[in-house]
Amino acid sequence: MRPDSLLLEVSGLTKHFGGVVAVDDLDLRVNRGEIVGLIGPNGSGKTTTFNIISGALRPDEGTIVFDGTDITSWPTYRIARAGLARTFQLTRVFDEMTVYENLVAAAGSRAEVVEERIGPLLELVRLEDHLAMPAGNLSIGQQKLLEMVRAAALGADLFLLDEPFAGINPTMERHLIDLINHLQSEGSTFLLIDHEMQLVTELCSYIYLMDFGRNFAEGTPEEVREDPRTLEAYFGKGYIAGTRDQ
Amino acid sequence: MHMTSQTARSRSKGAAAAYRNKTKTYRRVSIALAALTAVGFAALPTFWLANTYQVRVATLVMMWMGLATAWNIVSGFTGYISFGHAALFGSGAYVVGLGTARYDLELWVALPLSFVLVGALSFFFGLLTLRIKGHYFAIATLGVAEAIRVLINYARSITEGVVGFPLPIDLILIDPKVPYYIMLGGLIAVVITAAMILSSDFGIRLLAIREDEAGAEALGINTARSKVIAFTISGAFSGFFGGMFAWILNFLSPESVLTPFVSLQVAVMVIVGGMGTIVGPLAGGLGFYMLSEFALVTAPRLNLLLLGSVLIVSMLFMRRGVFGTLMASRFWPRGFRL
Repeated sequence: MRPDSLLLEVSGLTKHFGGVVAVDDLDLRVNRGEIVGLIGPNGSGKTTTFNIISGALRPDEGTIVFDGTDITSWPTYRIARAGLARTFQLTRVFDEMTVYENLVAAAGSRAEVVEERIGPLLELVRLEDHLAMPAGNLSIGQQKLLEMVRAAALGADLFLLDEPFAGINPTMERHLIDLINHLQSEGSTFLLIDHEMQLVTELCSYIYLMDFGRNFAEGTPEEVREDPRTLEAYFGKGYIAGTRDQ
Repeated sequence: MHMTSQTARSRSKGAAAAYRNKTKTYRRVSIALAALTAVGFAALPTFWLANTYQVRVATLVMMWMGLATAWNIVSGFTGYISFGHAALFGSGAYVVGLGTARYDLELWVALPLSFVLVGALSFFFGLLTLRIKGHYFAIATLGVAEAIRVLINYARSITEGVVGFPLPIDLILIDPKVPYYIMLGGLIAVVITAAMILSSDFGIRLLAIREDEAGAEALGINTARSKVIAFTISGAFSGFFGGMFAWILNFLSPESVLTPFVSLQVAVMVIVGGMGTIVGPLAGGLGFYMLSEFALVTAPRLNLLLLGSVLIVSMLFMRRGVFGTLMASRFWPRGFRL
């Protein structure tokens, strides 16, 4: 069912903040060409996991193997150059730089190939007429789209998207889904955090459910949705007990 | 399906090409403006400056413009505010001062040496301090600069300490137009360097660091390396301008080149003029130095008050400085960095 060419393998990932275990012996596998969802209640360690994979935080234990190479504790910029890009929960475009400059910063140079590769993506998300605009003047939705295109300009194979659909209008959401599908059709792989069960079900072929920093459940969207542990993670044990009583 | 992606490609390529053409036009305009200004400065001593004092003042104006531009390369582009440039400026001054007075070097050797040695010093200074982020960096640079000042104060057997020493008499007797033109050359060099950086891919990486360092890192930018390179270039030029200052001043003591006041003044010039722009530091250096010279002549005790007021007013009403504000306004063509 899942494509079997392993792109990202996270094993035994553990991270403590003082006495709190933010990520606890976590395992994740993402195969090439997949869109994998990472869901879980607030505070379950999803963003921390992203921070560790992308190199912003060092894990206490565990390894991260990307495309056959152990990238655990590499500096962030090296991980990015290896082809692993992330977007942030709150957009982080370079406000006072133009859209074009934002893309050049990611691509590394102004070379023609940038426009050759990125042009169609800009067109797809209707940003091509805003190249000279300061990125800070774009709407939040457009900034999210730019962040994605920028990650593509970096030449990423794997995109880590942290709540890409939070706080954007339906039109932008459509553009974003189109962009993800387009990039996937060109061979890109995605690991995304989101709360919107509907969207995750529509987009993802496989889902990991995290709670208290651990793998709680995994499987296809249907499997995870049916799994009682999902309800337990979101609503607590009492909820499950309540339904059983009825 | 195939057709639409074809037209999409050509449309977006058209948009990108149009944007690039526009930036090319902007570049031509900037080069023309810069060339005109350079010719104007070159003609000044012949056509306008009446006496030695005026040539000296004009030379010092260019020095501050150049030092402000050098400071801008690191602090304006990357957003890392340095309060330590007095140390680099002062070290350059001591390279020329000690080189000519104590080690009998020719001035024509000592001046390039101030560029090279202070460039090397800045490289280590940068390695040491640029790991520290935000405001802590500013404080660290202040600390390192003070350490260098204390070092020169205490190395009395070499530097004569706080007492200072004069430069060789034959340097004093050189026609003031000679340092004027060398300073003009140095100013042109630093402005060209800054403009080339700003319009390059490297410059875009520096601006990205200023906007969001973690974000830049996440896009594959080796921020540590970029910052150290910017700091080294900035420091080399600062050292050269310091060397020129020693020559013009004819007398060297820590009090004249190594005080935090020098660092502060150059920062204020750029902040008021417009950080991260090319004309901002030039206008700031020119305006600020002329103003302080005017204040010094008309109201010797009040000049610092006047300068402080300018800074406060600028911070309150123009956070981006004069030219930064202008370029962020909607009348300014987008993507035109001047």
